[in-house]
Amino acid sequence: MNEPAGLILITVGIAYDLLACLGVVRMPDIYTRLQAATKAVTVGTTFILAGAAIYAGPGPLAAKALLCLAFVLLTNPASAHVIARAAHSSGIRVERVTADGLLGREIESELWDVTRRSDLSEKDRLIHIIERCLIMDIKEHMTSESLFEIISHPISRSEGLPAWVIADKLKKREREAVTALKPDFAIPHIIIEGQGSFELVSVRARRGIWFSDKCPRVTSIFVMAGTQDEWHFYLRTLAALAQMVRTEGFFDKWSEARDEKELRKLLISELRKIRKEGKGGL
Amino acid sequence: MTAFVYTGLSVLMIGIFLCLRRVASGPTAPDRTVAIEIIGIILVGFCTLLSIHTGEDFYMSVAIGWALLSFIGSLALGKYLEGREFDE
Repeated sequence: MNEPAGLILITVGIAYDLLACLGVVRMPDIYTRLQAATKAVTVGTTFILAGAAIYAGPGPLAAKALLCLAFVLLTNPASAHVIARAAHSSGIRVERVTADGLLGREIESELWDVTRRSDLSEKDRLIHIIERCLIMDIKEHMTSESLFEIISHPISRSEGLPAWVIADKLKKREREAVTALKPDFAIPHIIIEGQGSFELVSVRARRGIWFSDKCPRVTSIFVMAGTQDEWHFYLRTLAALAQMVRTEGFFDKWSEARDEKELRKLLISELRKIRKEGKGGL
Repeated sequence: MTAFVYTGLSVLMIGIFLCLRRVASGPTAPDRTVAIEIIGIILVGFCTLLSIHTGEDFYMSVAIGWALLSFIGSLALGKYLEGREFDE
């Protein structure tokens, strides 16, 4: 029997319970509410029960209070976990980060960044890009410079840069080093201003494009324009494309495809195949 | 002692009403589940206070039963809600 100690514990416990309820009302989303409520209530009710046990002294009341205390202490975190899991698996998002350094930036966009950078989603991202990318089927024989002039227009539309800037960059890149890796495969690529964008244009040239004297008739050209922060993704794309053109019979299928639709299908199915085999960059 | 217990009980009542507000406003089902669970646990404290006020351990049995039910209830709700879309 120790009355003051018991009463102090009970007071602390009640204060914690009240704080927990304030947390449930005031916090911005389910996860913060859960963390405020569960922690505070576990402590609060535990303190009330301990206080009651101390206040009442040895006897059936104290025994039951201690039993109840152990039970609350064990079960409350578990049920909070179950609720948080249910909320998470049904797609309820975190509202916002309240830390000063992150104010004003949605945590969702950060999470998106994280998943975008992760290996797993990059695999799907390339296929996603191929599904939407521009595929050109060029019948005439031309030089790489005139091809760049043509290609710069669609890229400039989606990137919001003037077309001549992109054409100039592509030409400059080409002068620095020929981007034709094989007699029938070229990957001109440039780095553009900005953040988080990546463009891919696939070109099938029936009569070939002149890149250099060594590669006068390049038939498959993949033009990439990405921002600096997408460098990693660019390298992976490059590896995947290089792996793709190495597969046997790719260029036969590439030149036999009837139209843009078939070319796209071919690209997607070849990339999926590489992915399944788990070789190469992707 | 009586004043202390009554003050404590009314503070807990305020807490319960705050949680009821959350139950009413939602906005999602897990929010409501959390609030109901909290109400259950606060009621355990409520019963404890009543039991030391009256000196009867009967109220503690109620508290134990309530804690058990509230735990099982939130487990069941959590499992029931898992994987469901609720954008009310």
